[in-house]
Amino acid sequence: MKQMMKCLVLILAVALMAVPASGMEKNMVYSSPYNITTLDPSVSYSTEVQYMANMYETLIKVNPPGSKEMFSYVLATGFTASDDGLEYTFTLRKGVKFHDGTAFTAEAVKFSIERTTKIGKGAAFIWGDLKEVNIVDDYTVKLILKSPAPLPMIAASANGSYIMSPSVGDKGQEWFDQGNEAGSGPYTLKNYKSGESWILAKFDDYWGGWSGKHVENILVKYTKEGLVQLKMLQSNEAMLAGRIPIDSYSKVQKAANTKVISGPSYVNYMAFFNTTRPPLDQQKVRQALAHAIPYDDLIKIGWNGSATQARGPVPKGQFGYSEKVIQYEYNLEKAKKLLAQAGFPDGGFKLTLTYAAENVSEGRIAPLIQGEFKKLGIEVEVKGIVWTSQWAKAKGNPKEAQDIFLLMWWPTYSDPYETLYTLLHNEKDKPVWNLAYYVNPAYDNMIRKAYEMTGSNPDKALDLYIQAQNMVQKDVPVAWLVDIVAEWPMNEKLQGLVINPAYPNTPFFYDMYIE
Amino acid sequence: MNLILFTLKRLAGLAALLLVLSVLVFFFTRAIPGDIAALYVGGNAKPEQIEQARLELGLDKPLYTQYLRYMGKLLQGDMGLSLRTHRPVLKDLSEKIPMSLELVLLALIVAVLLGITLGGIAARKQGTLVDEWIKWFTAAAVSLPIFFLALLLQLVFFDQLGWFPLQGRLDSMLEFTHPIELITGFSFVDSLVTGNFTAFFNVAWHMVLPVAALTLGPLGFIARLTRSSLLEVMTQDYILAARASGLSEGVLYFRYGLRNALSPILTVIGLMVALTMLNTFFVEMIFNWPGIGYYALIAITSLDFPALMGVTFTVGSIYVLANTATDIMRRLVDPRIK
Repeated sequence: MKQMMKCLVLILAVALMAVPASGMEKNMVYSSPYNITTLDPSVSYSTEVQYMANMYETLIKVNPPGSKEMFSYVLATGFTASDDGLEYTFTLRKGVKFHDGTAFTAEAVKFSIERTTKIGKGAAFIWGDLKEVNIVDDYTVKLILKSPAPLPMIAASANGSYIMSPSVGDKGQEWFDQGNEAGSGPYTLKNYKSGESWILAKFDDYWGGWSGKHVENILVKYTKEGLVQLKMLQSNEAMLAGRIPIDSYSKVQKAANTKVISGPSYVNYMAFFNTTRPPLDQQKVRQALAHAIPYDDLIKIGWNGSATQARGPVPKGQFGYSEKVIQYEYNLEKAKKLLAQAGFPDGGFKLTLTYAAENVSEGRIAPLIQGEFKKLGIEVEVKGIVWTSQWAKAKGNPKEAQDIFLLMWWPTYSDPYETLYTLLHNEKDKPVWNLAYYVNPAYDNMIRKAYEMTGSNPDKALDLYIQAQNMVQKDVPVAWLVDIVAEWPMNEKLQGLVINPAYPNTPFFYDMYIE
Repeated sequence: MNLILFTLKRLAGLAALLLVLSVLVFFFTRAIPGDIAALYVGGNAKPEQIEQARLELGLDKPLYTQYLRYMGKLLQGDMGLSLRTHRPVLKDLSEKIPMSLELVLLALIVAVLLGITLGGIAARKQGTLVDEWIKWFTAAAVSLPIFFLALLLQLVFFDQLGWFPLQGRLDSMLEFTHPIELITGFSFVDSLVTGNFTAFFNVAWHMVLPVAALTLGPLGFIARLTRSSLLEVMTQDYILAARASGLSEGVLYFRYGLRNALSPILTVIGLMVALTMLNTFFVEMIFNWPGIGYYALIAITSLDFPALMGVTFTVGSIYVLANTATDIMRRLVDPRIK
């Protein structure tokens, strides 16, 4: 009898000890201001990237800067390139299942890339140089290009490169937008309520497995207001928040139950100068203005000190960035000299500057630029307009558009060509993103050459990119302001978030766990 | 018979009004500079994609052609695709409207019941301290701006006292264990129909603050109107006669007086529907309530033009329908209106 009692006590004790272990927190709430604009992996090219990257996977992924290897392998286990840079062969991972049970094979790769290019929306342009996808066998696939391109970067793109189950067939965007998905990632989509909340739920058969520490279910609570996100975080309702009011980051950092994790990002801010009309059509005047921008103050006031001055168009850490690129420093004396050389010793002209009214940081830095320019005798009229209107006006007739245009920008994939091409190539009479209306055929040729060489001769490509950037830096059609730092306010207990600038604003939940 | 004719007439008026509204909203929103095709594409849209979207959405056609096309589709129940969610606007609205109506209806019911009661008491106790207190309370309720009131309630009852939840319509943890199935969109109905009582009571708990914020303004207004209307009625000859016949004051006020004082109050209720619908824009934003106000506010800031048209039509229709309904009720209460 006594023995039995002992046994019972022992069993009870073991059972009690087991309870906390099995009751470990695996569920979390993420208070997010980022809405889903579409769930179609071929079309998606907006804020929903955060969730897509947790449900879908790409062949390979770009590692954060400073990693030993450039890529990590996800659905592919390796790749080789032909000498002419026109053929890439990927070997694929075995034993991977899509959420609908379909096995992952070469067919899925062909299907996904072809579906994305055929629809031609979102980030489909990244496949612009692709000629065809050939299935070699179930676990080998060959991508053939029309002209050389940095294909590994493209295959690892944050948008437009997701692999989906071939069982999607000819289902369209409407099917996805009802709350369906067809990925192979660690999480599936559940309880999708558009504009309210949705759950990223553990996919039991995930190839990576669930041993080790992982968050298993994430309730995404769509919360537009920064103040509400802050309160959800402070009251421990949310483990993670997206964008709290700028002034509250230091408070969250200091509080006992919350913290802020920060890391590099490829998001940068810039000021376009309208090069089509006097006086900004003069190179010297633009150089003067680039010297008159108080970069340190912008960082202090606009981003609470957590950003760095941009060197050039390519953010630090990304391929194409180099210390050899000319950087403009704040120097009013130099600015005055340059202005005098251009024939404006006392300034004496007026400029208009537009910024996106909904961007808090831009609203804070615009008056700083205005104040410094005033010291040169230049009046700046600052106009905060809703982004869509600001942009629409800039796309009209350049002769009637603004003089200075503030823009926030981020690259779609980890290669400088998109940024350098989109923001500065000659758009002729139809401006879209080149809001300096800058024309330089030598530059256009040089970046194209660099792009085609990236795969086969990266050193030479980098040289060309540096030359091209310096060409631009002498002309100063754009003043590059700051590279920003990604910041995630979260609960003290949440661990494991890896900030990877190649995937802007994307929390990979599989890396995360709750202590 | 008369009543049916009256209703039909009003409904014809509704159609004309919505037509005018559609012209105004369509052409006004289009006057705002903004590239709809680029918005539709989103992200770092490329020039070719923008051009393609322009053709796809028919934005290359003259404005009046676009208007006619829009109205043609609207008659078939198609409000187009939202530029932001890329879902049919009608589907978005059909999910959002019930969530707002739930707040609005509840707030109005409370406002009417409490407002008439308070107004009645104030009139009955005219000149006393009770009357004075009610006067102060209703004055505050009417004059506090809604966003301030909502924030104040949140500050006191969530931040300080912690009695009520901060935001949303369901506890986050219940979204894992007791999610509400979407059937009608009315959280109360959906949770009851599926036997999800945990969610039902949780929703009710979440509703307290937003409904309180919405209800106070109309409540104050109705109370003040009831008081003055009732006091006016009480000076009439028939009340005097009734009083002379020895009826008690309570019966006089609340049975004979109130019924006759009700007519102007009913008119006001129609207006209150409109006011409360508008107030939900702020309340839903502050309490993160996923209704039509929240939806509209985001549509406005992102210039989601089809969604804006949809919201305007819907809110406009609700407003006119509410006014028609109160007019009909007035005729039922007061047979003198012909």
